[in-house]
Amino acid sequence: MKAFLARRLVFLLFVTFAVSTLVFFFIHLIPGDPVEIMLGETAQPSDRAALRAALGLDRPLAAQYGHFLSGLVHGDLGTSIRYHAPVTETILSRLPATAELAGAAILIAILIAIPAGILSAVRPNTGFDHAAMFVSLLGVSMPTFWLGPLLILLFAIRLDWLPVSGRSGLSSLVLPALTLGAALAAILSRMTRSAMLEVIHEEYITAGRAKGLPEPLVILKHALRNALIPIVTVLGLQIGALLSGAVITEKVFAWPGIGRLLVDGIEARDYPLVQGCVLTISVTYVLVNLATDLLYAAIDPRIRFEESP
Amino acid sequence: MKRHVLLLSAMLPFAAACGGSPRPDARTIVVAIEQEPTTLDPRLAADAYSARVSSLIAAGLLRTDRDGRLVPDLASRYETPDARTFVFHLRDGVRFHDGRPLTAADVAFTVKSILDPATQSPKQGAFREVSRIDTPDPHTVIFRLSRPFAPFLTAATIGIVPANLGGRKADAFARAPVGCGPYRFRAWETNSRILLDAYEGYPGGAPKIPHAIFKILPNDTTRMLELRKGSVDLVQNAIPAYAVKFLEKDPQIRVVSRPGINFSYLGFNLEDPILSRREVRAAIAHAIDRDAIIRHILEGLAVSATGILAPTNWAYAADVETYDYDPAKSRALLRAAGFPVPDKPGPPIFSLSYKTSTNKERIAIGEAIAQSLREIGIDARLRSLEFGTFFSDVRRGNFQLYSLTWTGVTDPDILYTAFHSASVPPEGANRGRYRNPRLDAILDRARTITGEAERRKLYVEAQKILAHDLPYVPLWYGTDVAAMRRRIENYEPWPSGDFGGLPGATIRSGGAAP
Repeated sequence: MKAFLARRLVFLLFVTFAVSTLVFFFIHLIPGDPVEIMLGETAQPSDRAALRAALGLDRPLAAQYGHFLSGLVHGDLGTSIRYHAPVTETILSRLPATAELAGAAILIAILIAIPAGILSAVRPNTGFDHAAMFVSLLGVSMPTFWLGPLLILLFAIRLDWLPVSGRSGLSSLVLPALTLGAALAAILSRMTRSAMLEVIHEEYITAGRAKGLPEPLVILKHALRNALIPIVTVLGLQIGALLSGAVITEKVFAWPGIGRLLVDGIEARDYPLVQGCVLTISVTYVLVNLATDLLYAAIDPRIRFEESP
Repeated sequence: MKRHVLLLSAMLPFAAACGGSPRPDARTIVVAIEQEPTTLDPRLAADAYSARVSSLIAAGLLRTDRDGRLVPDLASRYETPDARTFVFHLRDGVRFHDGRPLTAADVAFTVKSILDPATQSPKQGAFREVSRIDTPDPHTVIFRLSRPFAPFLTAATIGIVPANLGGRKADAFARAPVGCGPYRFRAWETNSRILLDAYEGYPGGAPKIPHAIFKILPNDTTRMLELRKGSVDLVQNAIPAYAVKFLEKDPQIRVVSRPGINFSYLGFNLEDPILSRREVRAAIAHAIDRDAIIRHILEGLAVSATGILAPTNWAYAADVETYDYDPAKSRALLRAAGFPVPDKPGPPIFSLSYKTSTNKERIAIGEAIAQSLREIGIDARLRSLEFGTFFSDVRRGNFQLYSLTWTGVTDPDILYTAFHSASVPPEGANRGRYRNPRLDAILDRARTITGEAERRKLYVEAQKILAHDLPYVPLWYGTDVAAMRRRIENYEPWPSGDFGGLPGATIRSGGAAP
């Protein structure tokens, strides 16, 4: 177990290094210039040069990269060009909003998808099964920039129950979380259904029933637990998609999260901010995957993280 | 059925608890803006929303009125003994929002700090000519310029900040500014809202509605929906043309429009061997059916343009060459330029790359123009690029055709920035690399004259040259559109989406919420 964790930690360091290198060069190589954006078109070349020097943008790319890496090693992501504030601080101030939204979306997805998937698997090819799978197909197909306004029209304008946008308490979380969670719920319910269908015809399920175990216990304890591995895998992978999907949802609902920070940063060519945001998202992704792997062992005792002799 | 009832009753307390929607009260106007300002320091404001919001907080010596004319604001009057000397007399008894009196030292500090490279101000260029600032008494400021520079008066609209920022740090000031303007800063909730309060001490009179909230709503659809719900009172120049007619149908919403000054154009690269020929540029100008684009894509919310200066500008020249939609004439012009175009549409004779941003409306316009060009035998290849990339290409001359919009132009010296040979990037905005010594001489001279009538004569001549030479095809002036809840009264849209009409707006009494 320790060896496994150590290996994964090394892997995490490697991913962080690779991602930061890629992001650094991509953002610096695409056209566009933060100095131009800050000073406007009428600035004199001498003023541009002065600002470029102040931001360290006049140095060779390799030197800038070295400076960025050495900062990274010390946990310093630099200063945002657009906000004139430390990148770490800027990102940390937005992280709670994104975490709140992603957490709520996952919760909604699990609460809808797992029961729907189980019921569909238990009663395959019934009216409920067809309806649930049709709705989930809709959920997968609906883009968030369309579903979001649709939910706003119904719940915020027609019914007047919830605010349209913004982040002001629990009521404002419902619609963005529902929008973001919908696609995840759809994928998850289909996954749950097929995983359960596979397990349900196993001999140990028949054995459990033959022993006279009550049906809910058979389904929830014996079947679901064995079906959980693929479900957890999909969930872990989807959290990455959730973070990128949040960019659009955050824009539609004017949610002050890290996705909008990233997009605004790209538009302003705020190099340090973009690097910081992408790094945060990718490290989160790697950590979530690590958590997923650890969860495997908890779900299925046959999985052990040990070196084979 | 039973399950439905259960679900509904489970949601009811929730709905009741949040009251559905936080609608603004009778003392607050909520304005939706597309983007968050990057700063509220008037000296640093480079983007439109930083400028629009910070100008409500920090007033300048002069301001532009609704017709784009310069009028006194913190100055009671000004004199220009010659084009190198500008004397401003401050109003008596003006105080900053924090209670400190406004003096000439504050004005001098504002301009000196802009010129200090450490401030990193985008306004440095406008004050470059200032060689000395004298403050003979606390109410008089004299700017002496190194050479005659008439457009300096427009620079005098810059918001005045307190000397040494009243002891605040520059970064803190940019997030919580102090000024003498109609609104006092209250709070800035990052990426969410900016809250302002009416300032009783503003010399032009306090705004009639005591509180103003700027809500940052980057999504077009969300802005409209907030307005329809009533949680936003006002959206100005931030509604897509197609959406305006939907809002007009809503009985709770009033849409007010007024011919604007935002000038859209098709720019040429004059260093391109094909486009360097005037016949080709004129052929392209005659090929574009502007009225059809205005009618079908812009829903009538634009007026055909003759040049960069709008008809409301004091230096506007009406009597210039214009280019009507006439494909036959286009073909004749191309033939005159040595391109054998058949009379009937056929295979293209040459192709041009046409760059634009990723804005949906701009792409639709670009496609319409490309189609028009195809009809006269030019294969225009539309490329839609992310704005930063697009603008960088435009600056570096890496294009053949592009379209963009000039916003908020009030000083005719814009002709210098856009067309003088000394303004080729990185110096200025002559992105098409247009060079005409005769025009250069006229624009140079116009800068040295303060008499408006004489200045106007020169600018009229310059506009005639440009209309003939066609470094741009003038397309249209965008109409200013404000959509507001019916409870808002006396609000008038201002040129280019400025919020100059905000202090005069009132809320209908007794009509707080619909």
